[in-house]
Amino acid sequence: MKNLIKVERARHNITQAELAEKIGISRQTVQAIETNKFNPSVTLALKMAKFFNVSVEYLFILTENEN
Amino acid sequence: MNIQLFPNWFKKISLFGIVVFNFLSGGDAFLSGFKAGSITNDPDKKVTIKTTFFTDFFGSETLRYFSILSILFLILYTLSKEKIEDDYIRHLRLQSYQLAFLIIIVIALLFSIFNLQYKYDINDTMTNFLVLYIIIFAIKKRLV
Repeated sequence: MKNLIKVERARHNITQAELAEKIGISRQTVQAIETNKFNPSVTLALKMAKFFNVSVEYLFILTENEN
Repeated sequence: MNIQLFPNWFKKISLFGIVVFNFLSGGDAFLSGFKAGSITNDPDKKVTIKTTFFTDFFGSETLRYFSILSILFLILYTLSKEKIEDDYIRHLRLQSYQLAFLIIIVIALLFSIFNLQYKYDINDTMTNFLVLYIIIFAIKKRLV
């Protein structure tokens, strides 16, 4: 699964630590999600989408073989 | 299931307890080794010195309780929450438990296969497992 968190973070001009603090997770978690090492739970995905004011489908994209 | 029962500040208390009670319970062994090492540096030469400073001071039964207390503090440390508990931290914790368990099982199996006459008692096993888990978890948290 790919995601556009890094892009949205750059668009909102916030650091990983700031994003983590705003949605109540650790900085390591943001880093792990951005580098595709960890797939977030539905709750966390929804929280992130809500924070960036985008849809979950926009923020998280299934790759070819996952479809 | 979340088994992190204690708040984050318990980590500091338990770390203090681990250091103090490990030092007290292992003090005699440390002093013996230190004295033997200061007599000769030749590893082939066997020097056995038995120091009983802490045993004389506290008594062997109290020292046994100290070693149990150090294990209890280790358990307390592992059951304390991180500053921020989230899905990824729980995921890392599970991985660390699995890896520590696997390593301990492999070591125990190797001891069994090669019939090594080393006193590997349950206290050592518990301590090794918990320390291994703490180290693996700390490394995994930093290696994102």
